[in-house]
Amino acid sequence: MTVRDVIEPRWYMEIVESAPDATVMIDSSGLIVLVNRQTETLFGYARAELLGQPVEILVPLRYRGRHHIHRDGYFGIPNVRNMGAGLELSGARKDGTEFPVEISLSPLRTERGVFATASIRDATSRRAAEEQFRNLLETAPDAMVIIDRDGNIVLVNAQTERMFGYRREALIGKPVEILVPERLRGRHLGHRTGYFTDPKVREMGAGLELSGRRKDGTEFPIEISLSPLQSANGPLATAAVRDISSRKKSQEQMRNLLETAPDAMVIIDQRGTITLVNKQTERLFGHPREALIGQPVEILVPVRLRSRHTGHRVGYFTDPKVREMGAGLELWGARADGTEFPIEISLSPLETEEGTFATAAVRDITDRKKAQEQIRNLLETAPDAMVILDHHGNINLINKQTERLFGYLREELIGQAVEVLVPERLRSRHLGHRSGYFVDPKVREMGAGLELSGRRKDGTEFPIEISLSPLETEEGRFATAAVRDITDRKKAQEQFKNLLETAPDAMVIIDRRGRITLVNQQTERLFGYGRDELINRPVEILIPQRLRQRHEQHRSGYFLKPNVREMGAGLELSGLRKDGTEFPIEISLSPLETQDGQFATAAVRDITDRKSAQVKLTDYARNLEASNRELEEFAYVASHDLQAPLRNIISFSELLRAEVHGKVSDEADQYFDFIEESALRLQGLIKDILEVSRVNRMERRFSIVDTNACVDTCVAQLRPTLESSGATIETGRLPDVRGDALRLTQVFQNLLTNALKFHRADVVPRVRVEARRDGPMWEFSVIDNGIGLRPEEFEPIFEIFRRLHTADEYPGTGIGLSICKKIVETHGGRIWVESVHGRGSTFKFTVPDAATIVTPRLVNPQLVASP
Amino acid sequence: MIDVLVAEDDPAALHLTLKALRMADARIRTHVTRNGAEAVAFLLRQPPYTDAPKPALIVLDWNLPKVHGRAVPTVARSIDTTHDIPIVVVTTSDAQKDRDEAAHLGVNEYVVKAARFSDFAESVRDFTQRFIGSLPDGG
Repeated sequence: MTVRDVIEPRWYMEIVESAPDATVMIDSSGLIVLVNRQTETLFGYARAELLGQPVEILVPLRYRGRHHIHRDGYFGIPNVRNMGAGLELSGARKDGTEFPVEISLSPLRTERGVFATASIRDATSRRAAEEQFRNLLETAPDAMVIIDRDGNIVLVNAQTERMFGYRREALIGKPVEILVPERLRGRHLGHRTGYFTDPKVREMGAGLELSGRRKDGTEFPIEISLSPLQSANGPLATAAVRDISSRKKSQEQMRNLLETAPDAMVIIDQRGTITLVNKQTERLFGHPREALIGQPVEILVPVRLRSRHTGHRVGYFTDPKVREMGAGLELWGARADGTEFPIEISLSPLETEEGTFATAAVRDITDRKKAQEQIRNLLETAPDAMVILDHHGNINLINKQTERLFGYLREELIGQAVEVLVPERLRSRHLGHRSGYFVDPKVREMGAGLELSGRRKDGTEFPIEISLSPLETEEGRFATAAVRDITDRKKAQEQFKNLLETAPDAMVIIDRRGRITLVNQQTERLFGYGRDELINRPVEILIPQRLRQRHEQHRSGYFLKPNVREMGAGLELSGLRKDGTEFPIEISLSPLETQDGQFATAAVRDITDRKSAQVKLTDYARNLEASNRELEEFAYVASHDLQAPLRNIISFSELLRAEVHGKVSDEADQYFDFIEESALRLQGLIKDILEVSRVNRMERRFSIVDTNACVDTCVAQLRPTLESSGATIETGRLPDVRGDALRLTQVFQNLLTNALKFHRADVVPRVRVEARRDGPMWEFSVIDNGIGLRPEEFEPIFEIFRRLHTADEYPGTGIGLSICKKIVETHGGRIWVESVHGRGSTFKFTVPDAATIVTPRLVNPQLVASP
Repeated sequence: MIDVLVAEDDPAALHLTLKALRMADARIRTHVTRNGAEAVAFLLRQPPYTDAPKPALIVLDWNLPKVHGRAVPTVARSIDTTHDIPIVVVTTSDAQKDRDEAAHLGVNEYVVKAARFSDFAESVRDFTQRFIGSLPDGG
């Protein structure tokens, strides 16, 4: 039987010959009835060698025994079977070599029975490609799972085995859901089916939170990228699966980190979508986290600023870098309730596998703003122009005075480098100073050295003085500069120079090294030098050679502890004229602090004249002292030697009168009275003189004196007089004073006695004693209703031995008031009288309060100092 | 007789003192010395006072010439035989420093001579009675 017997018409043969694959037709007994040219080529047989042979001739020996079973099976249910439908098949060439084949079968029913046509393709190259693909899979870093459109796993790599804990054989042919947690399997099925209806590449991280399930049932977070794969066996899907446990963990850590941040932290992606916030953000903005995630970050920005913010944001991502807090911009946040609040933001880019993000740390600066407001208000009250700088040297804050002083508006200065206020020529130097200051900031007071200049907006310069103090804030270190315009002071310095010229003394100003820097005309005149001969010369040129060395020491010492030393405070100095003559001088020194350093001003006075006057005065004082001693001696002698003869006169007159009484004449008896009265009066006068000299020599042993007691003593002594005349002495409450109790009692005694004594004939004496406070003193008044005084008598009554009345009218020596005057003056007070003639007198005197320290007035110091 | 030593340089004053002493007590026998040196010599029984009795009272002017009155109490108080003799200073000086000095040296009384004799005699009678006693009754 040939093939012609089997198949008609002839065109079928032609089709078979033109087919790309080898075609072999067999009958139901397995004998080859037809082959084409491709079969000859593929297997190496000539057609004739194959026709009529069992088809097993083309099957490798090791499969031949079982092949007929497959063949018989096929003829049992003959149908079309496509290539590549599973079986790994091999062909055997005539030379015995084997090669992989793919076979598709189709039945052919004829009148002579059923035949089977097999199309055989050499699968050597395809197998090799498959091998390569498999190797590729193994080298992939991710677990690779390939599934067919039914969701069955067709291929996995070693990473998949490791990741999921299955062996490869346990996965192949299983639905992919074996790798999905049970709870998600239903959903996954839907996704999978969906994917095959529109298969395309889906990259990792594009959204879904996925989980994988290991063989042991544990789950783990994964990320999947999908790509479709067309194969001979239909569409497949390749899934690259990545375990993101560690990334998840680090994300978790970062989230925790965010939560511990003191500021509100907001992370946004490049599109400006919020991907992460912390609790502080929720609190600060009043939005719950869920309301923020996925929203554009502008939800946190006031509506009025949103469009601008979008621009900034896009700009940031084109050049993302770290931007620190407080770097300039005034920012505002918007809360959920629409209220705004001032914020500060620091930005830092965050590079991740998922792209660039931006982390924003947001700080509410409401309080700080408020504090700044307070500082600002405080600044406004300062008398000086106040400028606050940040550590970059930029002006952060100024007050009105600064605007006024420099001619700028606030807006023109804030944020500018402070050097805008410094003249151009000094700016680079200022920069150095400024940087130095922030390295070692401390308080520097005004006038501590540098000659400074400010520059107004209009370019004019003016002299200034600056004090600096550091200001530590949570935003870092600032410096506060108080700036004072010293134009006027400079002018005053000019005036100072002029003033020097008008000074009566020779004025010499020297620097620390003792060099003369300034003199006036008086100096030229006094020392005989011209100004030019003195300037820059050591000041010792004006001092005698023998004193120069000592003077240099004094001078150095003075600059170490400069203070004002007034004239006459110590040293006897000599000046040296240009002509070599010396003359006595007196010097007062005062330190002079200027911006150029420390100087000393010496006022030099020629005391030649005063020296001689002083010598005279010393002589005078010595004489006075001597005569005072003599006076003292005299007083003592007077008390004894003057009194003794008087006593004799009185006593013997008395004795003689007893002897001759009634024996000579009445007249003679009267003479005795005259002798005795005269002698007694003389004795009284002597006593008074002694008293005056004693008060003069009175030592100032002052203590606190209760004047009530003084007056009480006097009243007690005057009681007989009071009782006989019906007179009254009235006193209020009197104060404590500082003084000598005995002497003050004496004053009251004299004044009260006078007040009672000089009464009007028909008027009962009434006396009042009062006191009132007058500064550090008490003013006492002794007021009577007596005969009074005429104004021209007010002064003389205090003179010694001044009597206004004869001894017949009012007895007394006239010493009382002058003693009162002495005593009061010794106390540092004064005494005077106010009176209306015929109506009464008021004697007033002052003595110091108990708490006052007294310097005596009108008392010769020599007299007081004597023993 | 009661021996009283009087030291006084002024004859007039001496006259008044002796008169006042006689008026005060008739038993008094006065011994007069004219300055401090003589008074001290009297107490020490130096020539010309080798036979001098121990006086029952010394009436002493303070401002004596040559040797000052202060020599008298100074010496008298330092010698056993005389340290118990009462000494009254009779003077015209009422200076506090004289009073203080006299008291310091052991003078028993300091009397400022009154200007009027009657007053003076009264004060002499007073201290005489106190230091040498009243006239004994019937004596």
